Amino acid sequence: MKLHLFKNFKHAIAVGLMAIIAVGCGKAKVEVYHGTEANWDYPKTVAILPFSYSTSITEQKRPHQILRAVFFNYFSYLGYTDIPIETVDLKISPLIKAGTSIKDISNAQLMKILGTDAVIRGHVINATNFTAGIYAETSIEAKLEMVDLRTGDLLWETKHTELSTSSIITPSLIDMIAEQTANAEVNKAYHKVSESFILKVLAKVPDPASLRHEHVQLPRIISIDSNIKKNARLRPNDVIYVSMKGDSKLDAHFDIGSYKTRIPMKEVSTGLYTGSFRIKKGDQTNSSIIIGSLSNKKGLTAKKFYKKGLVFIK
Amino acid sequence: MYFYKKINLTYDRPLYSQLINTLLALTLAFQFTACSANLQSKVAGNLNQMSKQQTVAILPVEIMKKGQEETGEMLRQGLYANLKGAKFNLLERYVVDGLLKQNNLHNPADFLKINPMRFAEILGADAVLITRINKVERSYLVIHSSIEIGISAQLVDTRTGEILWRAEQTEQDYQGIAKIPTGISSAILGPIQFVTNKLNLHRMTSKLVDKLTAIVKNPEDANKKETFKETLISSAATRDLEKIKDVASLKSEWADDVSAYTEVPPDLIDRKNPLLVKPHKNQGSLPSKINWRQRKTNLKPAIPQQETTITPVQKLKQNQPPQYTIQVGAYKTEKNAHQMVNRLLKKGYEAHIKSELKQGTPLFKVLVEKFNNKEKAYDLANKLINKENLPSFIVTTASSPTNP
Repeated sequence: MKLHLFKNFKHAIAVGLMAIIAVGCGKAKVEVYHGTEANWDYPKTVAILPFSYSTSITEQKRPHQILRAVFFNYFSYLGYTDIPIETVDLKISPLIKAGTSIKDISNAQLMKILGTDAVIRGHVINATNFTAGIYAETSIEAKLEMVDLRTGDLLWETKHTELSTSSIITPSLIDMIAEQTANAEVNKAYHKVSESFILKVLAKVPDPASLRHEHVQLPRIISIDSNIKKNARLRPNDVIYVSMKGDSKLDAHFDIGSYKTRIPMKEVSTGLYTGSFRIKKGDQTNSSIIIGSLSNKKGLTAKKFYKKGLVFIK
Repeated sequence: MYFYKKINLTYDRPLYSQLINTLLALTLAFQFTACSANLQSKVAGNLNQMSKQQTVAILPVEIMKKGQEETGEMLRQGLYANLKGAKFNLLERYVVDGLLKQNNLHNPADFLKINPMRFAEILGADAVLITRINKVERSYLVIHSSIEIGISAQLVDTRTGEILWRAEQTEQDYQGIAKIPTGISSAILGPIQFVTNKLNLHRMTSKLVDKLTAIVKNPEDANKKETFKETLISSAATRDLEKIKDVASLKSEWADDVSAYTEVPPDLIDRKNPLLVKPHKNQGSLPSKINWRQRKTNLKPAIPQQETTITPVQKLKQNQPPQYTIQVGAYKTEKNAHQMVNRLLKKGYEAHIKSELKQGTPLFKVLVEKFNNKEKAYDLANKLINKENLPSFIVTTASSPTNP
């Protein structure tokens, strides 16, 4: 009897290990063709192109769109500056409408249209989603690559299959039911599998974040001044004037706390910006600080607080 | 061998019954406690005001114990991915980390103590998201294993110090007998697999972030219970706002003293923008400031009263070029003037008091240094304005104010 139980136990371990493998412990294999050394001329801006898909995939289920959206969400964590996918779509739409396939657009053309240093291309080879009795499965098989548009170099590529299954080998009945129910929601199931896919891939993709730390520089604001010299209680028709000195030819605005924001300022002479706000009837705020902001084309903003007085509007 | 012994027990009837009973009891207990989430989340009405024009910085996650770094990183990555769909913009991670590094802010445990306004000036962000992992616990008890993650998050408006969102969440999941194993092998290996597979921790973190951020992505859906009754301001911001109020009050008191006998000459004011005083030829890059006109000559004699006779030495002085000094304040009380002088002396400036009578009331002026050269006086005035933040102007020793 003891021997029989021992055999059962061995069998149990084997089944268990199979279960562990089946639920997707596999790692993605990413071929990286570029080093991450300190002098690496990494691409700063990246566009994620629309992912193509095999004809065998039902378009309505959109696994390629889901995979792309999830990739965009997680890719932005790395030290690249990625442009929104809506912007990418908008910029390449004239070419697509003219009947050009994405894979036929040359690197030089992409660089000109998108204005980025690199692109991510993706192709969904296969995608499955079905729930049948005691077995449910969702999978995505795709190929992704990153191309440096400046040189035409392939920076990295991967071909990976992410599989999520639920069956009799799932450890518990409750999990099995829950997983099968979840699998029936196609978009959510693809989203879940896409997340696992992307996280595994991005864990292997070179991240230039640390190389960029020292180069981050906000615009410079030298000083900010206002006619609010004390804790002034302002009334309708009173005017708050703000002047700010800093780097020239940038976008400037000021805020009154979070009460009135992005009040435009104009560059009246090199590096000197001015703006004003006339109090209207009904305006009301308490202890608000005036904050000057200066933004550059990279989207970086510097802020400076005017600390010589607070704004009270009654 | 341990498992083998456990299985062997099935042949001992009374013990087997006891085991079954215990398992049933455990099952019931677990059904009530396991696979649960405890979420407490509240938002401020002003979160609705955030738009794509506003930027939020997700700061590095504070961890309570060693070994939680990976979960912290997962959480931050999940927050970035989830909040991409929010109504505001996210400041890129490398920008946040780079600027924090440049400002020597390495320890996330200090973030809550820092005035949010400082984050605004360092990062240029309109709000910061400060998060902490309270616990990551994995437990394994042969036929039962569980993972528990607890986090707290706070979104603070850097312009006002207002807490826009505050949440605490605990997510717990388990694998064990209570979930009705699909076989003996599953009963034994399921818990091992559950607690050791890193993907489970990631799955739970992802689930936790999904639930946590739902309200931030759609604050308009928040019900009354999920909304702060009153505006909450972070303690660090409250402290500094009070300081600004106090300083502004003191300055206004000082300004009242000064404005009693000074005014901006009309010809120097830009009528379209009163802040823009026409620059003096030597003004350089100075910001606009108060310009002074010559004092009225019909003032009563200053204290102590001056003699009317002119001595030969004074005659000689009258023929000499004027000396310049810098006035940094004028006080009604000598005590206040002395305080200012002491402050300046400590900083290495040669400061002194000159008392006068203004409409019968004593006025104590604080003057700094003396120069024969007007340019040098300008230099020091600029330094006092920019470095010491003191409204300064140049006067001749004959008390004729000059624009710096």
